[in-house]
Amino acid sequence: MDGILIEKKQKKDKSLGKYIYRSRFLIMMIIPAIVYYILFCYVPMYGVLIAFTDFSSSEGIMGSVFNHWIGLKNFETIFNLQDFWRVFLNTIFIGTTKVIIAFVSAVTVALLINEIRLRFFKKAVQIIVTFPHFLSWVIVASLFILMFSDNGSINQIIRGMGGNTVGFLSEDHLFLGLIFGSDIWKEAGWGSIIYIATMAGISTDLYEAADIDGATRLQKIWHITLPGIKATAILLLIMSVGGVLSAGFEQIFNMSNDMVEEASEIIDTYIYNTTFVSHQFREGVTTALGLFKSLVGFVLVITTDRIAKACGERGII
Amino acid sequence: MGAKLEKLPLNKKDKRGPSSKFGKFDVVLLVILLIYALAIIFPFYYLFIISITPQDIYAESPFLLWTPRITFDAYQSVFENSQIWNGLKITLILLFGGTAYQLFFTVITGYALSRNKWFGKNFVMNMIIVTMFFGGGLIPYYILIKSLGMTNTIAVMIIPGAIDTFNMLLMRNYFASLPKELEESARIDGANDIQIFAKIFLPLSLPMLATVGLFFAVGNWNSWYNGMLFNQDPSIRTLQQVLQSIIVKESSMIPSVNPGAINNESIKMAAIFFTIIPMMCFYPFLQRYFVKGIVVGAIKG
Amino acid sequence: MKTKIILLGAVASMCLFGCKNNNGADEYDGDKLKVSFRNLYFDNYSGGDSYIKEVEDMFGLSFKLEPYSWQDWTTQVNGHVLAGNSPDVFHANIDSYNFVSYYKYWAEDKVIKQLPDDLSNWPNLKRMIDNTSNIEALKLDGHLYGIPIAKNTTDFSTSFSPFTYLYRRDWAKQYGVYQENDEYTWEQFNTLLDKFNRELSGKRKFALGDVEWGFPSITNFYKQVPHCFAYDETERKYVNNYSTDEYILGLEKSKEFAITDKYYSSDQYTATEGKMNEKYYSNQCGVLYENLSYSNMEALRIQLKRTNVNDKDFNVDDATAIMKIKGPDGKYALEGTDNWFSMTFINNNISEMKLNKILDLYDWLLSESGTNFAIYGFEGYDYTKDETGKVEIVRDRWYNDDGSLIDRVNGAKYLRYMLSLGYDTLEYDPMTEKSVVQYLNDWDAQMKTALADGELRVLKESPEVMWLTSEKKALHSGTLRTNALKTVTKYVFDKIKSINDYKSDRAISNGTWDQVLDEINTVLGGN
Repeated sequence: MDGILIEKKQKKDKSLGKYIYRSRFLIMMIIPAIVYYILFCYVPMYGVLIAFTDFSSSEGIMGSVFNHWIGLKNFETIFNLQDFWRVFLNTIFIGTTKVIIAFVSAVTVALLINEIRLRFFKKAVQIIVTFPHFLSWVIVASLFILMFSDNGSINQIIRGMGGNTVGFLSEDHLFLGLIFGSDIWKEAGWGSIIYIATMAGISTDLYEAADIDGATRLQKIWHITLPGIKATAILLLIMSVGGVLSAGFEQIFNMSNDMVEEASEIIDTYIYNTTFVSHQFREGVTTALGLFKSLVGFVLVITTDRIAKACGERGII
Repeated sequence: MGAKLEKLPLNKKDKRGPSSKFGKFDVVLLVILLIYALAIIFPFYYLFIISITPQDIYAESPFLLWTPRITFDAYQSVFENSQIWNGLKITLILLFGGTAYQLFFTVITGYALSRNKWFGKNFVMNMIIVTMFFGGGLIPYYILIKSLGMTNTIAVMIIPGAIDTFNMLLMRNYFASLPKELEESARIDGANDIQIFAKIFLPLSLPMLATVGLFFAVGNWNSWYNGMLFNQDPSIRTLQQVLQSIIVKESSMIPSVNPGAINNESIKMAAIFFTIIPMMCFYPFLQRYFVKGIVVGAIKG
Repeated sequence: MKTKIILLGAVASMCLFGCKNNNGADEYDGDKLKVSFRNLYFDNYSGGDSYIKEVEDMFGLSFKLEPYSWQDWTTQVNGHVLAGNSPDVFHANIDSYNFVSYYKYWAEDKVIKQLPDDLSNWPNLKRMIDNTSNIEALKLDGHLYGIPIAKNTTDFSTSFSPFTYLYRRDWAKQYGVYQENDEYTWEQFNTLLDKFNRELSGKRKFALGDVEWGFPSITNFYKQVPHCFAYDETERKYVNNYSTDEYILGLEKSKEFAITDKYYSSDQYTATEGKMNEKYYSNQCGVLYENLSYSNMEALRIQLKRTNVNDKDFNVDDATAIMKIKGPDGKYALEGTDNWFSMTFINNNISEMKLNKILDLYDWLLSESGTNFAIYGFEGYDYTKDETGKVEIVRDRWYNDDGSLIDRVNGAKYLRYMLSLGYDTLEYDPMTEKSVVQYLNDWDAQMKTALADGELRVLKESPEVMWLTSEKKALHSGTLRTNALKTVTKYVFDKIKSINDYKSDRAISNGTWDQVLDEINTVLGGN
């Protein structure tokens, strides 16, 4: 039993059988994972064949592939839909803005909390601001609708001060603001944790040296703290690019309404609505929509990764 | 890499220079953070006020910061609603059953992937990474769940969540950070991988297990998406699903126990409060576990 | 390499898995055949009463009864059809332009079972289906794949779904704007709204609320058809209703109501289903536009009584009065739909034996003895019948001797809702409030007279268009209406400022509309 000694050079010498034999316990432990990923991730990938058929549920996937193959016609259908391009651009816009806003707000909150010197206060604030992350969007959305509807508390205050009702839930741009705002409310505190931890890891020597040079606190933040979290920040940014096209189904599903749907409908809610509510498309078209989203997302991740590597940063793939 | 993580202090004493006096800068900071914290707290307060406001006061007053008369009838309505309790029952099944199930598979996978080279490791790793960036989409997934016969079952809210890739990587990073010598000495004593995992690594990683377990628990407490997609049977709706239907859909589904005295808005708010309260009570004590988890996991990437 | 082969093998085996088609074998509960029903109207019913047990015993069946919720009915139906776990019998909304296309799809794809062409074994059922107006439209190649839930009559009076205004007569009297017999001219209606608005504003109250899918109801007084496709007499072709001059007149008036006069609640446009109803019975709304069925009326009355339980002077009749409004043209206007708007479907996976049993049950429910059982209960226990067939209720269904309410539920009645919604038994069902039924009938009679006198416009969708099936219509018509209504709402609430912007909005004027209208005009052209 000298499994730990498997080194690269030795591996060539030993036979494959021995290698497998030595790994048998770990392989046993990984088998559930293999089954799991094949079943729940790869089988649906094979199901994307539906996108090229006029799917018939009684004949199943294979039956449809053989009997109802229609090539790229489903893609033609979706690319010819005005709705589709609107929804696609919405998704890109909302997704990208969310990534940027999440990043900026998390770093800002981290800087604020990091600079606080009262330990008790720091701890209390951290507990409060990280809490909303653990609420479901069902709850957060209803809180925001309660606060921002035309008869909600914010508008009551505005009217009380002599202003006019502001249609937070009905004006496209204000509603998008609310989408981003609620995202900050829910996630900024939580997102800041990782940056606070990274900031705590920055060597105190740097700060002491800066003090000797007579640097102000803002200067220290700019010249020491921010460069100190750069690597982490870039890594997290690349990671989040993959989620751009997801743009938050649960949030928009729970918060949106008819008045702002044109501006807030994203690919995921569009797929849900056309499948379950309006019954507009056959399965093939809806699958083509999903496949298109997956492909674009994949390309985005690969591209970002390559760019990051080209700029000398650590990639993820 | 791993050893360093252990030493990352979160709230270590601030030693950044001698300027420890409380300046203008600190006051500004304090005010900003106070406003931020209030912005987080205020919606909960407002929610609570509405939940205890009687109907007549609610209908007559445009804005409420406090209510002259308090009624807890809305809470009574919520407590006497069988759907809420049924939802709670289903959610508790997910909370305990689901969390244990997910924890088991996620942890053994994380452990296997944290070990040194073994046959097929890279292949499995790549296989997993691909799934993080590419998926089949809603309809193929739906057809899969259907052919597995899992629609209209509680299982659909548990089984497909066996391994959460993010939490799995968290566990893997943690296991990898533990000293290699532990494994080597156990091997010399003749232990195999499973024994080493169960007898040495598992006891050492209890705090991390708690973290990951808590992540799963929160996920299960908030679970509604799979239930909404795959379960049409109202008797297996989760608490969040019941809540959602109270809030957005069936606004009048809870008949009030003390008619005339409470408004529907109150009942909705009371229902929301009912689901938040357990988290509010536990969170301050558990917060450090969550924080620790994300720090260990994300720094490694 | 080897693992890759294993992987491929696993994927291949999953393919076979995916092809698996589950054909439900009959399941038994003891010696009773299990059968599952899902229906919108089981909403208030939880089962387990002695009446439903009697029916189960009678037919050797074991029922599983589940409701849909009105708000996500369609979502739930599409969900279980897609998931392949539809109940044995389910109930679907067929009131959408693209219903025909998925009805066809369901039939072709063996989601729903074809009814036997010869229904003579089930004479009561056959009679009901034969009496249903426009039934041919539901047949595919001459076969029927479901049972339309009919109001079971060819009589005009119930052949339209009367969407109309309920209002707080008590408030109108209190504010001095009440008109005799609830009859209002257009000016009087405007005065009433104005007065309501003055009295209520500043609180969480407002003058006018429309049921969500009925918004903006004011257009009814102007437009010619309820939804998408209007017929232009001069051009002799179908056009987009939302851009006709009549519709736009109504739209301008709605905008005036919403923006200038502020009669509507500002939450109207974000309201979810049931919201305005809820506001009305919470005493927050003065006039409500709703679908006026007995059951809706009953639900509103119960809730209103609950809300006002502490108010000694509260009179529920005064709180749910039907308002009779003549539009600017001096005529009443009512939106009408067809004889049916929903259908009961039978899962294709069930056995012939089960199908026969279900049809037996349905036939009995429609028979005299079944109807009596569903309406009155057990003969000799709940009611007696003399030789002439006169029924006498032996047990009071409503109150115990001490005056407390009896919570006695007759499950057979709910089963019967799968076929008739109870329209045919409303008049003699002891559970209905006779005064309310009478009130609705009186209103109905008055409308009938008005129609005869040319004082009523009925807005009705042309069945040819509704039931036309074509490729483009199937693809797009599911969203044409909802998208257009969003734009309409935006215009009414001033998010779209000018009428030109409205007319050129993508949802009102776009290529999709043209394509669908072209198809309709091609098929129906020349008439």
